[in-house]
Amino acid sequence: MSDDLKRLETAISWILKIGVVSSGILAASGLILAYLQTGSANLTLSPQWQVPTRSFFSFVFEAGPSLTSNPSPMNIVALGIVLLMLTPYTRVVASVIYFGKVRDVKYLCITLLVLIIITSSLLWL
Amino acid sequence: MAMLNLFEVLLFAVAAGLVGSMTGLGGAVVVTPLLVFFGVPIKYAIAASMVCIIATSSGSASSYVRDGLSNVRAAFFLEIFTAVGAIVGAVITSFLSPTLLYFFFAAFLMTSFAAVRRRQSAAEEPVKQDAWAKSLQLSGSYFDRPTGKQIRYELHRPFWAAPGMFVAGLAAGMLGIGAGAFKVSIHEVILGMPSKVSTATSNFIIGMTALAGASVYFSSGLLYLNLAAPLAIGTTAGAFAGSRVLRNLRNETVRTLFLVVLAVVIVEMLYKGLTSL
Repeated sequence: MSDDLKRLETAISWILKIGVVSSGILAASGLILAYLQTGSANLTLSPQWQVPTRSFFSFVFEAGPSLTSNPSPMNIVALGIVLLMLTPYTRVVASVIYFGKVRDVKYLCITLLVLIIITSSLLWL
Repeated sequence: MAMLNLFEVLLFAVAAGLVGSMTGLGGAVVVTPLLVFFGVPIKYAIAASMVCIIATSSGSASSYVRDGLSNVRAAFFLEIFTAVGAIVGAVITSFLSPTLLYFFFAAFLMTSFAAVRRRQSAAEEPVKQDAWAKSLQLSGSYFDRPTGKQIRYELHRPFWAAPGMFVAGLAAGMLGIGAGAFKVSIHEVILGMPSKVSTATSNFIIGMTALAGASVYFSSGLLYLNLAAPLAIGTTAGAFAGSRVLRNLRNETVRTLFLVVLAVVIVEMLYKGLTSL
């Protein structure tokens, strides 16, 4: 395994770690806040906690503004889940950039294809 | 639906993450049946599991990738097929009856059980790189702690693995699991990957498969954030601990643990399917 690939592996490792830890902190904060506000640890599957039926990216662009205008437990948890879903997405983006930089055309095409598949699904399904 | 408690969900999510990471199963194979056991409708359980797998897989993969235990080139190539499979699978689940999902769940895991069980008796034979694997630079090395040796390996038959990875993705998307069992057996049986690299690479790929499946569930109205969030937190904590334990375990121990967990889950899902007829 080349040293160059080691650099990519280190970057991916950090992306995954930062994504998981930050999303975990946000989601945990939201859940704790919900517990403190209601005083109950019961998990009810109510519409309040249901993700509305629209595409991921429209949800992403609304998650930040929603949190600023209404910092409710649900909006904090939502931002945490959005960050979590963006974590593997970011590591593909990083891989595309890396293989583009080192001019590894084969793996640039492979990672780009993965990125196109995932982006299409997040946009249209 | 039975009443769920946040702390109970957190506790079993930690246990599921630990087992999922140590076996390469991805945690959700334990999470989905547990949620169903607590009375959560199977489609909601699948959607929540799919999101929590992203956390479990990314949590454990972060250390596997840093230590060079995951073969990232093989992962990049194989996840093209699992991602497409997961999207198709998740769309299918949106239309399928819950009873059928229980049986699919059990049946799919039975095939993984059989494949890995058969492999258990065979010693790990190193394979020679073929032309395709050479072109894709599919080889690597890892440090095996129990033996204290740096082990080099080569892979072969990458394109033979492609349809299998599509099926793994299909099952993952349909059932809200990582399909780690199936992926691990494809890595070992078709590609000739050493068991530990196979588990670590599977963990890495599962994150992308889960994102592909979750992308469909996200906008389907089946995802509840108060269910997905504690599961994600708990399984991640468990996965961090599990990945540290894995490095010190022998390959045979990992495989045996894997088979025991699968057997328990198969029995539960069959029981659930039969009683819901």
